[in-house]
Amino acid sequence: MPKEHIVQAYDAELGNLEKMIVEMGERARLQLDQSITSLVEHDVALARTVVADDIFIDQLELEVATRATQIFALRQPVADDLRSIVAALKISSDLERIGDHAKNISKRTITLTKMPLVSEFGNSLRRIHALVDNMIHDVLEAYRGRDAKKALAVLAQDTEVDKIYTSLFREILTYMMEDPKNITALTHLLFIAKNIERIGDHATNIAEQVYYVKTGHYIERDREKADQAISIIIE
Amino acid sequence: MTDLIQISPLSAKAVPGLTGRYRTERNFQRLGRLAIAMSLGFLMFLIVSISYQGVGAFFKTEIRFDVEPAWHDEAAGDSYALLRHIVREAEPEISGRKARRDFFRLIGADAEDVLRATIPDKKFIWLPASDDMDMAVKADFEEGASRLTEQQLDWVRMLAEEDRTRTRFNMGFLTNGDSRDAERAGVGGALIGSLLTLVICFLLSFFVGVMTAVYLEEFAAKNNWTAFLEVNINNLASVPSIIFGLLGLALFLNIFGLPRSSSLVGGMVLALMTLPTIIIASRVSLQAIPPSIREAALALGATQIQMVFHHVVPLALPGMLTGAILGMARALGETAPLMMIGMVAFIADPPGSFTDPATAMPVQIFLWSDSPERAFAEKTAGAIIVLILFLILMNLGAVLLRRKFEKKW
Amino acid sequence: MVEIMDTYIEIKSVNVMATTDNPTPPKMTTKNVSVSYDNNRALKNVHLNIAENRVTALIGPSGCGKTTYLRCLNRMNDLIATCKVEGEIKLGGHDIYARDVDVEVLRRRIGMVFQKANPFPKSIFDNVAYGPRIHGLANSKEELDAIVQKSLRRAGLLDEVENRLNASGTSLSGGQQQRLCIARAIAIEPEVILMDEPCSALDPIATAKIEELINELKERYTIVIVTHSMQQAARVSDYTAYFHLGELVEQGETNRIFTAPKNSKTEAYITGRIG
Repeated sequence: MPKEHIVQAYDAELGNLEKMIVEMGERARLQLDQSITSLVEHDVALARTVVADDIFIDQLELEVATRATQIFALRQPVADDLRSIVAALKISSDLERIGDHAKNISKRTITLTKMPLVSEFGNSLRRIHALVDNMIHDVLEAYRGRDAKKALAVLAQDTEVDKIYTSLFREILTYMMEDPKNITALTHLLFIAKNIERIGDHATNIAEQVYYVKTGHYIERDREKADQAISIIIE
Repeated sequence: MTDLIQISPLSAKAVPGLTGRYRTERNFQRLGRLAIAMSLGFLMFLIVSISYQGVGAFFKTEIRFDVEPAWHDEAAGDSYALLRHIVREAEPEISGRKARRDFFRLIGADAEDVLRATIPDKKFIWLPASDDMDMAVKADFEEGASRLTEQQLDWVRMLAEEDRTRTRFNMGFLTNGDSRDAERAGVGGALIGSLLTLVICFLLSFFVGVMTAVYLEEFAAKNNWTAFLEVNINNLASVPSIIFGLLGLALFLNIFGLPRSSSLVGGMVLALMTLPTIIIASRVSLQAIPPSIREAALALGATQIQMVFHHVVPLALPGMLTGAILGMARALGETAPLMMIGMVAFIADPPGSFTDPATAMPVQIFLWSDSPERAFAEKTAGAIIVLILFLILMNLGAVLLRRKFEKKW
Repeated sequence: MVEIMDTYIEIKSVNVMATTDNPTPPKMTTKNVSVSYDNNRALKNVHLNIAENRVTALIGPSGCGKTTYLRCLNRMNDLIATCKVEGEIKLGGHDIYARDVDVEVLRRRIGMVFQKANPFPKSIFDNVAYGPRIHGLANSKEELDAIVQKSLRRAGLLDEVENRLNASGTSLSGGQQQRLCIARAIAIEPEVILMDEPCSALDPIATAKIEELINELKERYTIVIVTHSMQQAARVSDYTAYFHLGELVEQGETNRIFTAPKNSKTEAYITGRIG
């Protein structure tokens, strides 16, 4: 923000909103991190914590929505203020979805601990998680610094995520065909992979919002989806 | 009971210095009230003393005499003879030339006028008393209050006891012209003279003044020249009035040869004197018209002159009229310039036209105040009352005019 | 076997704000307009086009020159002796500061409504009839009546004053007075109506009525409005021009100005950050 508002309370309100978004983001990252750890290390207790903690992110989302509505009503924001509040609303819902995905992963983790097999995918999962985690980290940085360049860089990272996801998808399918006994566990794993990939998409959504907040218009590009899993056919 | 007096935290005593502030305020208000009381006191003193002295001028004493229709025929139109006859018949016991003449002095100089105007078939007649007797009656026969002799005073007492005296409203005071005889003298001539003078003064100064103000305020460019004009107009307003009299004398009488002592010249001189006042008042009331009204008219495509005469002048008119009437009121009270152009002369007949010799109220007052006769002192005060009433009437007119034409926005 | 089909999901450009500014034909054009009072520059090199049948809002902090600019458009600045206008202002292609231009004719084509409602202290009828009368627009009493009725109706005031046309214009409420002034302005059928903060003294209901009226009026007239209320500019105008310290900082579609202004000064002003 270039300068402070004449009404300082307005600045405080906008600052609060930003703080809540960042907190949501950090919480979502932590949730994701813990869900992956619990998955890879078969830590049911941690998985349960993740499931239980999702409520905090949900509450934060509600809080952001309430505060944003209040600012709309009381301050009639325009220009960059308006954009940043609209973006905050959208980002918070993306972050809430990220939290939901993490929760979903943890729920599946609890189911999966009763079955073997995850260890084979441990490395791939950690890799894709590291990428997605980095995306969330970067997009939060970009958000805090209103950095359009960084936001664009986050968009670029999603391509990599999609690629790993596609290969994971293919891998899991291959495993399924090899031994139909594992289909249950592998399906859960497939969904987990999908969850992580979706989180990447949410991160790109957030990046787009950050770009919009900064520049006043949405990214003009033909987004080439590297997630080619939708067109994979295995015969 | 405790020794401690509880002071409310909301009371003035709870705040240091506050009581002192209130005291200052109260003292200031007291001073203001004192000033008002003093000015009211002076005013009351003026009104009371003038009324006390002057109210008698509006009343006159009359004496009743018996009269027979036949006496009219005997006198054959000679009202002086008739008067002598009436007095002789009424007071047969007064004998001797001197006594008769002294008694005759009790009867006013205007008694003959009354006799001339009466219808002959009356049984008795009320004749005006002389100013000396009038004074005596009004002073309640006080010793030394009149110029009457003991003998005359006795007669007056006798007349009063016989119920042959009465006090009546003195209409003549308002209608008569000036006279050497106090009982005949009235302010009528001066009133008409003042009125005619004011008509001239108003016609000249109002239209010239208003047009000057409108031009200066609405059309003239604001530059050094107009600023110079403005300063001079303001200066003119404070020039002593006698200077205007001198100007009138030199210009109107000597150069233009207009009739001396006439209300025409008086009005012209007073117009000169009132003009700056009216110009200033008109400019102020023009300035008071909000620019929004001018802009509204101009934005509709009105020309400057349409804007001024459709909107600004009608709205400023009440103010201009008020200014004019106040200027007139000042003109009404002016003596000095009128004296310079000869309106100070003794003029017995009320003027019939603008060019007739005339006098004016303040000049009349000045003339009478110079008169040695006691009765004229009363007349002077009476004339002052008339003048003040005239002024009040004019100011009232100003207020009513303003009320009527004033528009609110 | 794994077969990969190339699929492109095209994301259409969503940049709706990037449309070109002022595409409608200009009713008035101003080029390089500078105004000075006693050598104090009030306006510097303003280039601005006023789109026909659109509402153009002029916003900016006090003393930014927006009212000065507005008053150049119908030459109300002529009233101020020290005011000097340079540059070119055209109405329908004709220079309004040309030598042979008559300001009364110009002002008949460009009406004005002022900040403070300024009805003449005359009857409602006379207020509206004044313009048509001085310009001789009505040949008979009936025609004049019709003009007054029509103008009052267009100003949305007829229902409220129909049975008291002889009442004083100043007896109306503030909002009604302002609409009376609008009725008075449109009675002479101008092409452009200039409004100088017309709602600054009105309550929100009266303001809303005026704003609705502006919205209806733009079908017939080109409107330029100076306003201190950015919300009002956002609500009523199609185009917005932001003035700052005598300069036209930014102009464009109101939509864009209020969501994504290009200039940081504009942004600072409309978001309330100006120091």
